[in-house]
Amino acid sequence: MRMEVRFAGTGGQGLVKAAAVLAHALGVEASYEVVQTQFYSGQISGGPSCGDVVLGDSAIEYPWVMHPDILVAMSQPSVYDHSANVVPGAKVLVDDIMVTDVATIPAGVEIYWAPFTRLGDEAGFRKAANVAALGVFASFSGLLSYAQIEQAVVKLAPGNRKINLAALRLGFDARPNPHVRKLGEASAYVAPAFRGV
Amino acid sequence: MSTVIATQAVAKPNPMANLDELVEQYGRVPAEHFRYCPGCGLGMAQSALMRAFQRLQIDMSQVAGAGGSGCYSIMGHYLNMGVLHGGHGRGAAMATGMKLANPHLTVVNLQGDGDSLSIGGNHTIHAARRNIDVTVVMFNNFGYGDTGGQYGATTPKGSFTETSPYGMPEEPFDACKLMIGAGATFVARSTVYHAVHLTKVLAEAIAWKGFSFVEVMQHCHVLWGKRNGMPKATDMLNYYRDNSVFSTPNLKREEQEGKFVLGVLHKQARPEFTEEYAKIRKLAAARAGGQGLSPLNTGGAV
Amino acid sequence: MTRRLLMGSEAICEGAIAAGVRFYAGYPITPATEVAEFMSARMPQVGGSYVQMEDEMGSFAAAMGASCAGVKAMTASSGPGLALMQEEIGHAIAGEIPVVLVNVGRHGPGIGNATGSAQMEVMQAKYGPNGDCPMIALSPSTIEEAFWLTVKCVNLAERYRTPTILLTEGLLALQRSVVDLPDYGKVETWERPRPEGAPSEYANPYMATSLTAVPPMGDFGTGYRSIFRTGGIQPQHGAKMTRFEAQHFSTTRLNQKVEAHRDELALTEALQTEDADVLYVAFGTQFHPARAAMQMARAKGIKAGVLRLITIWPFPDKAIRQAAQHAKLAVVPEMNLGQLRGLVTQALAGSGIRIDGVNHVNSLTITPQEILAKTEDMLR
Repeated sequence: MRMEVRFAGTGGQGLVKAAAVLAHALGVEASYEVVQTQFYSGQISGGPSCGDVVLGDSAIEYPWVMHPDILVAMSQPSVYDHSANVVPGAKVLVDDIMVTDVATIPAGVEIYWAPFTRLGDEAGFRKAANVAALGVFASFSGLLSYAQIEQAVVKLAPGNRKINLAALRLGFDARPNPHVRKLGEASAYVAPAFRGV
Repeated sequence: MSTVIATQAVAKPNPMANLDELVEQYGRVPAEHFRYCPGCGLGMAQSALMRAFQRLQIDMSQVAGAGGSGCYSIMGHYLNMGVLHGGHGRGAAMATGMKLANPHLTVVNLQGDGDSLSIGGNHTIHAARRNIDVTVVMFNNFGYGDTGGQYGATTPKGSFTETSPYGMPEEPFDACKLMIGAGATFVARSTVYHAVHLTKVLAEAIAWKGFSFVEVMQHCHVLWGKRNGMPKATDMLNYYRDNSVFSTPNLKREEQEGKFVLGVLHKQARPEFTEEYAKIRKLAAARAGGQGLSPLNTGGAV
Repeated sequence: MTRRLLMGSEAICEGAIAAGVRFYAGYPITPATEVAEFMSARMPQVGGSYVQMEDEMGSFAAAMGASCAGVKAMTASSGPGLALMQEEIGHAIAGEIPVVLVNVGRHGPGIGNATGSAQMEVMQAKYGPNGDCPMIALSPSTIEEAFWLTVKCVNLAERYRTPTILLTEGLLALQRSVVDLPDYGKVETWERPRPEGAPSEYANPYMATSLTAVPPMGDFGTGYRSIFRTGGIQPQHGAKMTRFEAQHFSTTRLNQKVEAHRDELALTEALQTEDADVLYVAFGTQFHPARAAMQMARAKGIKAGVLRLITIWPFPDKAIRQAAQHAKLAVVPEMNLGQLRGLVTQALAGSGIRIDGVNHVNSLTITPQEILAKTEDMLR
């Protein structure tokens, strides 16, 4: 089994951190083999950024994400940037206020609207959206129990624990809404040009 | 003259101390010959440095030296200490590494004016800023001697060198002011003419806890002197005698004009870097709970 | 054994600590900054020292100073910083002062793309300093290996009294993976040769008796008053030599002391090369696409094999010739415009093997598909 996960968005949203926490949860709290990689641009915040995790039940031979099985898209540009990499059968979780246009995502890919940013706000701090995304991911993927992801957040994200755990709980309990495609939207499947990182 | 210098309570120097004994204990006699030009100020400066070690009764096996490139750099080989004779100008950085790695060492960094003020200026001012317990001895011979007498950052304005055949158009650095500005806690200047005074300030600098800087006016009659009407070593020694003034609290500005101001020019204690770092080690070890050597989470540093 | 999520940079630091490094001097540079960050936290915990110097020359020089004071020392940088350090690397080679340098590769020339990974320092690592320089450079492919090769770099630097380079890449240094770390007390560490006789009989740290000898090094403060010199002619053993003979002897010895151990230093990993018609030669992170391409090629009936270079310098040309015994063509995937390919071409000169490369300078890792496409193209 090999699974590829990508958190994509804008620098400053804590995507690399989210990927690192997820890798810890999967690799140390659970017992998957994991590799976590990342891509970010020179700016501290504002540029394209993503945090990737590859997991498997045996040693991972190829450490980079080629076609994410689950793409978490936290900003509109990231949807455009990574649409070409997702292939039919994959699932895309998009932020329901940061993203408005999902037409570039190929047919055969399941799209879900998830309230990452709003849950961050609800927990008391918008930048906790990445922790909310971890909660959503854990329950959505079914790969991790709440206790496992909570442990990873506590160990690797020692910031404001109260807000982080509130955001995580809200995320874990949230149920993303499946997107219903309009007629003609992304009807033709575009063969993806591979873009590794 | 010597009554006006800031002094510490140390034994009076004996200029007549047996030189052979001094060299045997604090120096190293080369197999072939000393590679200083006849009459060079470096020999005088070295003897003052050895006497300074003698006055402080320093165990030479615990002395480490760092040096770069220049006429002076051979001096490290003639002193009975461990020496790293490395890249041009990197002496202060090498000395920083030695002292921090082993704070028990007495670290002396010999430098030329090219080392301290030009190629290694950055290392020297940062060592001063850190206030690491290193003694920088800067030999100022008004230019680059090892390469044949080109002008440098200390060449007096208007003087003639290999690369300033029409007279030096630039202003020189005042090395001591630069070091005071950079945060050196002990800054002094002396000349090889004032050998007793030089010994005294060198001893005081080595004993000083923190970064100390001594500018040694060390003549080069062969390259600089010859082109500027002072072809003999004695001409240059007289030049230092006639153009120096000792620093006193009441020294007027006009009295300093065009003169080398000698003495301890600045002295202000500040916490020393390796001692401060020892506190950090303690703090870090306490936070690691004695588990430093086991693979440890650094607290999510990234 | 401790199972934990480790970043590549962190694995390098932990490897250094396990190998006994207790001094780190550095200057921030993307993507090597993480090494400095971890070291600033870890060094004081283990009784070592961390200092942030004013520039790269200063960092390397401080590490040299610490090494002379008897402490295993390390610094890290990336392409532009490595360029600045070349002067000091040459001095450390000449002065035979062990220092470990971690180079985290990035895109160039110039500033390039600071966050973009690359393998552009292959030649710089060896031919950067002036003069004829020996070099030992190792390149890890995984995070676990980064730990062990750092240990090896420290050990080799000490044993051969020469600077060593861990040639890694942004892609690996910023990657995280779960690694089982060993008990550091059980990690094998090597020490530099140290003098044993009375200090009065110790003349200098360059008293070599043969061209391949690594002479004992007296650390500062131990009573052995070493004069480390990075210039002039190193004084040699008692044999009577003219200045010219001594110069020849010392320059040759600096290179020979490493060259004589080429076979044990040149580490490689061969995968299915015994019957390979197609040989992939790769190092560092680009080993992974090469291995995947090999599996894809084998599935299509193309007999492919991979030779992974663990050691880059001294260059393992013997192993390449060995692996290419039956090969008709060789493909070299690398994240530069053909630095390794040139070396492979040199190693296989006269063999008639066709050699081509897959080269990325866009900081995106090479894909197995690209390597396979190049193979099929060449076979056509």
